[in-house]
Order: sequence, then C-alpha cells, then structure tokens
Amino acid sequence: MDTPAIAPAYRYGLKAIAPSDKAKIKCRHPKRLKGSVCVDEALQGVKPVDPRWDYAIGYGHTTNSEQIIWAEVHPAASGDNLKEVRGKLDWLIEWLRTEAQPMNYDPRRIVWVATGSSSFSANDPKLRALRDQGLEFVGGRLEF
Amino acid sequence: MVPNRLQLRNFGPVKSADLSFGALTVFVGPQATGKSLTLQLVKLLADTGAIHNTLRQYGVDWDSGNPPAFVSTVFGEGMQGIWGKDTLVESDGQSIDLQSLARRGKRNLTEHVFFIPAQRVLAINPQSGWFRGFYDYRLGDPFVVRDFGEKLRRLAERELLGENRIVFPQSRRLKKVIRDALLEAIFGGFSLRIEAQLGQRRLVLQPNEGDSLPFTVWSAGQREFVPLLLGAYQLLPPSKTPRRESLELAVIEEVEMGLHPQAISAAMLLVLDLLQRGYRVYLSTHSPHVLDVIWALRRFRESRADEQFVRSLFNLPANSEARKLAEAALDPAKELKVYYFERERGIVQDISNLDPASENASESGWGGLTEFSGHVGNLVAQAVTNGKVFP
Repeated sequence: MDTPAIAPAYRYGLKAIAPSDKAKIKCRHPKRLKGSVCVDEALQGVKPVDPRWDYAIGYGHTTNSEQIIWAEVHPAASGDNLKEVRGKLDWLIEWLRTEAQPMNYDPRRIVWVATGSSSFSANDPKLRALRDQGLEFVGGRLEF
Repeated sequence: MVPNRLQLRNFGPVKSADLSFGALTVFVGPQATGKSLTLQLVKLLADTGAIHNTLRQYGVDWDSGNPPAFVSTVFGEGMQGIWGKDTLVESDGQSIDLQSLARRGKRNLTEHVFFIPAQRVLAINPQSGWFRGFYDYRLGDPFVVRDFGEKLRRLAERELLGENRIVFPQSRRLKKVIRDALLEAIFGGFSLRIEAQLGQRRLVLQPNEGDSLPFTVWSAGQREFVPLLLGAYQLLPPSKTPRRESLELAVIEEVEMGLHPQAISAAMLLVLDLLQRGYRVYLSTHSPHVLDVIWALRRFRESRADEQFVRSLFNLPANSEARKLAEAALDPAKELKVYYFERERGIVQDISNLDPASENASESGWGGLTEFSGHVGNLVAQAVTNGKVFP
C-alpha cells in the first residue's frame, strides 16, 4: 500500500472494509492479513467523479506469498453493472499504471464480489471475457 | 398418489432430505448420491399396485415376509441394504412402512408415473435393433429399466406399425415447432422408421437418399435419444387428448445424455410440452445447460418477461403454437425446484434460486455443475493479472 494518496487510509486487518460489505469478505487465516484500504473513500476527495475501485487488501503468509487482493463489491444484476465494473477495472489499471506504480507489480488478484442476485451464471461468456482481462467473479462471497 | 413432499432419513446414501416437489423438479449432484434411488422411490410410492401387478404378470416372485428381497426386486440386485432398520420415509407427512409396501394383496392398479431411466439405451437390443421386453432383461435389473423396455415394445407394436412405419417425424405426434427442432438438432434431417429385414422388425434411420442406417451405426446421442423420444410418445398421445390415461408425472433421468447443447435445448422443449399438458416432470441431470434453462425461466418469471424471451431462449418461431408453449413455461403456478444431493454429508439442499451470487457455494456453483467452469475462469483471471505490470 506504498502509495501516498492512499497510505493514510491504511487500516490493520479488514478494518477498512465498510460494515455493509464485511459479511461478503472472509479471511480464513486472519493471521496472514496485513491490512486494507478503502480506495474508493481514500480518493473520493481528489477524484470525486472517477469510477474508483473499492478495496485493496494486503494478504500473505510469507514475504514471497504476499499479494494484494483488489476487491470490488458491486451489484451483478444487469449488463449495465457489467459495464460499470468493466469501467472500474479500466480505471484501476490506469491508476496503477500512472499514479500507484509501487503497487503495479505486486502479486495480485482482482475480484468482483456480487451484491444482490446475479444475472450472470458462472459460465457466462461475458464474464469469461472479463476473466480474460484478469478479473475474477467470485459470486456473493470472497473467501481467501 | 404422487407425493408432493418426501422426507427421507438414511435411505441409501441419503442421510437427510426434505423434498417439496414443484411442477418441474430437477435433481443434481455427483454420482451415487441417491438421485436415481429417490426418483425410483417416488415411482414405488405412487405406483405400488401397478408395480406389484407388473411383477406378477411377468412371473417375478418375492417373499412378502422378506422386505429386503422386495427392495432388490424393485431397485435392482445388491440394493437390499438401501432401506434398513434406521430408514425413515415419509410421504406427504405419512410414515411409510416397507413391510406394507412389500405385502401382496388387493391394491389400486392405476399407474401415475412414467419413468424414463438413465439406462434407456438398453431398451433397444443392438443386435436386432428392436425393443427388449420385460423378459429380455436380467432378473436383477431395476424394475424401472425392465418396465421401460416393455412399455416401448408395447407402444411400438400397438401404435407404430402403421402403413408407412415412419416413427419420426409424424405429423400427428408432437408440436411442429418441437418436431422441427428435434429433426434439425438430433436427427440431422434423417427420419426414424421401422423396417423388416428377413422378417425381423428393426428401427433404422433413413436419409432422404441412400441406404437405411441400423441402430449400431447411429451416433451415441441418437441411440440415447430415440428411447427418450418414444417415452415421450407414451406420454404425449397422437390424438387431441393432452395426456395419457392416468399418468401425472414424467421422470426423465439425465435428459441430456449423449447430446450436444443445441440438442439438449431441443430435448428440453419436450419437457416444456409435458408441463404445458399438465404433467409434473422430475429430471436428474449432470448438465449445466439444463440448469441454464431452469435459471432463465425463474429469472424470466421474476422479471415478468414476456413469452418472446422463452422463444428466443429456444430459437422458436413467432407462431401461435410456439407462443402458447412459451407462455406455459412462464406460468407462475408451475413451480420450479432444484435439489442438490451432496456427497460429503449425505444431505439434500434446496438450491432452487440458482443465484450465482449466493453466499451458499452449493447454490452459486449450481450443485457443482458450474463450479468447475467458474474455478477455471477465475484461475485464468489470476494467471492473467498476477504479478503483471500494467504497461
């Protein structure tokens, strides 16, 4: 989380996750948790109209296995939601590329956690296209 | 009577189940988790008298005082252990005693359930290309397998030996939209007919030009589907009567067997036709394609989508016959249920909502049917992004 714009928002464990999203993000090995940042909130002041990504979670058992899990908690009820998440993914990649270079090379997972009911089955070709871009769709719960 | 609710404890591999059946009920789950046994149990409970009668008619004897022997007579050789001392079966709240099921006596002979088993390909003898009757099976084969073969044999001899001996397509059998879909997706334009070779009847596929094709050279999907089609003929009479006699429920095991996804869609049209005619239908499946259809119908109903979505799902034309079929599939009174037979704990979960975003992994992974596909996709996503510097 070595990026000035979000560093002040760093919290231990999963404390940066909004209460409404807490039930959707579960860590099976809490001792391996490093910390978390609500990117959306941290950048709200400087990028108020950007389609900001929700969370970055630092996780790893050893230095070698450390990774950042980029999690977006977002509805999956329609094709519009798909476009929104696609827009957020593009934003995240661009932000990592231009403003968060220290985090641009970290081992990572980029994950969409669905809220509400989903209108995409797990084998939906549209989701497959997003996965091909590096985005995981984990349904209603992220467990790691 | 066909049970509306079935509660099980320690029945075969099922440790615990509470099933409330819908108009269309689908069982999913790994092999040997009790799906087929449960479906056979429904048949036994609904048609006890008819089963006794058929067994008697074909000279099958069982010791009335030895219920396990009756269980293996019905469910097949080696199955006597599925119904033990700790087994509890409740049908619509009424406890079922195995002893009384096995006991001979005067019973109602009405048949309510038509069962199309997973082993349906055995109904056609590959050597002769004709149907196996009840006697042509081993004594240890499950009742539903022997009974199905016998019913097809009788259907063929009673209804399919007309002048032209064309079995499919027949203008009086099935809706035209379904015939067209089956003809294209499964039969590749060939017709199915009965011919006699050296006086022996046999089923053949007939191209527009050239020689007929015997059973042994059909594709695996065609060999699996023809007995299913003829089972549907038994349920869908050629007259204007929507249903056959007393039958209320069609059980179709592994409807997708051997079929390409396009052909599975065509086969699912038969299921919609059965529903439209007022049958209940219970399926078992290992195909995510079948659950795609159920999921779509559920979501269409919830969204109050109109019938054109169903027609689009099945690529049906915009004519009155197709519209009525599609409208019936959206009838909210015909409840759609999906149950997952879990191996580890032997329990059966209601996953009817099929929500891919469900926090219950059994529901979001559709009882394991899309779990692998989702897992593959997510691994690909991880491989694509992990450690990559976005340039």
